[in-house]
Amino acid sequence: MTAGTSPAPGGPSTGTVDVTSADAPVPANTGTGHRVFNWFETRLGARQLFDALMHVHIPISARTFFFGGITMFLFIVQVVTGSLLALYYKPTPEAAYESVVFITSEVTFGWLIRSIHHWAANLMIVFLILHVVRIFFQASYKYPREITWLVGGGLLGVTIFFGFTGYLLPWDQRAYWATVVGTEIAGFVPIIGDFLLQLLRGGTEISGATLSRFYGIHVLFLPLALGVLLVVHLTLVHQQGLANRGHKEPRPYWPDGVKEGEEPVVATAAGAAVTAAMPGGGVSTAEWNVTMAEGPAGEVASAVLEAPVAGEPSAAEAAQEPKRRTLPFFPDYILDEVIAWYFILGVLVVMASIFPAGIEEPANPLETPEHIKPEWYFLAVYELLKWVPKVVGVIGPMVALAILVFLPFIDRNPEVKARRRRFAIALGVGSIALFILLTIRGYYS
Amino acid sequence: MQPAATADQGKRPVGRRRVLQAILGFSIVSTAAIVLTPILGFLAPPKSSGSEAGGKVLAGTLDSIPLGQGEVVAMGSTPVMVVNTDQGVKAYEAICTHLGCIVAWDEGAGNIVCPCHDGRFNPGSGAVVSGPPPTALPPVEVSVEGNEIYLVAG
Repeated sequence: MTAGTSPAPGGPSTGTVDVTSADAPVPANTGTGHRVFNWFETRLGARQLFDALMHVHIPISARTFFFGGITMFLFIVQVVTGSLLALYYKPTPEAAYESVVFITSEVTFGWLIRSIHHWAANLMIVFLILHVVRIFFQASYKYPREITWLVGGGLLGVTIFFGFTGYLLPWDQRAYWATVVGTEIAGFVPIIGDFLLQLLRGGTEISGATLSRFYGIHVLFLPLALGVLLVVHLTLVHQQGLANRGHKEPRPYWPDGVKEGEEPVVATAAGAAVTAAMPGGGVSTAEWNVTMAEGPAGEVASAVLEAPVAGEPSAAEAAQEPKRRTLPFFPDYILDEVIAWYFILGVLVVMASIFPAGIEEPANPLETPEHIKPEWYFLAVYELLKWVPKVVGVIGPMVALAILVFLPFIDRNPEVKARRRRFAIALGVGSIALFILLTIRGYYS
Repeated sequence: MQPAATADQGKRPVGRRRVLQAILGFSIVSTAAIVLTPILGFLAPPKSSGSEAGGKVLAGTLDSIPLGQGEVVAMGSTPVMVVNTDQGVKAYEAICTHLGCIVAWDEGAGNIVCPCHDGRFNPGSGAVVSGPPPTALPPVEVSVEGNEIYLVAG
């Protein structure tokens, strides 16, 4: 915090100027920290990568509510707590139940780790749903983010499968019979149902083979799949930037005379410069993209950071920037995100303490308990199955899920404002209402 | 001017930035502690409920372990070498003091042998005869009642 670090003119005479020096990523003193940093930096050259990842700008209009980030945080919690649980858990019908009881009652903090795993699983589904709902109503799945949405559909599927496979592992009555019913439902799928049923169960009945299978899927296949999909998902988000809420993303435009293969006027979607000739592009959208297009991200970042402090828009790009329509991802957005994560961590500990994960009687294949219900996120399907023929009850949700996942290719309306996509909004609201209604009915039945 | 400045340095007001940094540092450290405590506690294996309830364990009979013979039997989860020597029935913990392998009875040589590095122990005292083991095998109390050999745990 000494003089010489501050790039701002005038020197560190006032408290406000110090803010800039704090944001300088490299400590300019010759302390140990600096030398260690340099030792790695000269070998890794990671600074550039870090800058490219961190110093991006997000539109100030973006409202993510941190749903996606929280879902990712919960996944990290699951990896940590799940890895710990795997140290004591024994995936055989003879030992599984006992090992879960052992974890809960004997291992130090075992109840806490297990309960947090339980609650983080549920919250992960909650926040994933909220994330999907947010993207849907903000129409952020439209051009150019169709692939991001598609990969998100994969993440949704993996997460649901996580819940389904993890549910069996305690091997108590609830776990056993929920899996009996759940896999039975898979058996209703036309043509491949029988095959699917046996594939899931690893045989015709729920047995030790099923438990091994579910355990292997739960701790190996799914985490790997989710990890890979997450990396793709985040890469796409990074490449495209967040959607400018309420504004259509300008498409590449080939004016008359520009032939295919030649450089279009507008090069790429997200980070492109937009000419005034851009048809359909609102003024603010154009301005926003101009900001995005100017120079390397770092320059814009520093311009935004320093402008209010130095009192002079140092570069031309800062002058062009239309009243700060963007916000630096780092540190502004990240800070809010971390606060949200911290809050969720608190919620997890509170929930785990007040409502710890319990366990029922050991699984007994000869006796079905009285009230056998699936996890809350399957309750809608469970309830639906009471009202409609089996085939419809199975095919219906599958079709709904398929429509959801392939939505960007079905909903071709380019409009993003709610009043210009009334049908989609109505359908979305209707679907959510139906889901909630069925879930509540299923819960109280 | 000069003396006043030096005097001020001692009681310079603590800046807002410093307070915030201190609070932030404290929060980060305490958060790390709060998160790591359950994890480390979880990793530490709980005290095994243990089968060492004390009492006597039947190791065999004088017929099953005749004179000049030795056998490893389980006392709870501890393996015990029971040998019938001309000085009476003796028992030792069967875990080699060298690197933890389980010793065996070498009938030909008439002593206790560790198969890993050929450490040898005296069947009468448990003392090291040859090889790398640093110390003798710890003895286990044994009582012969009639024909039956009992190990006394505890």
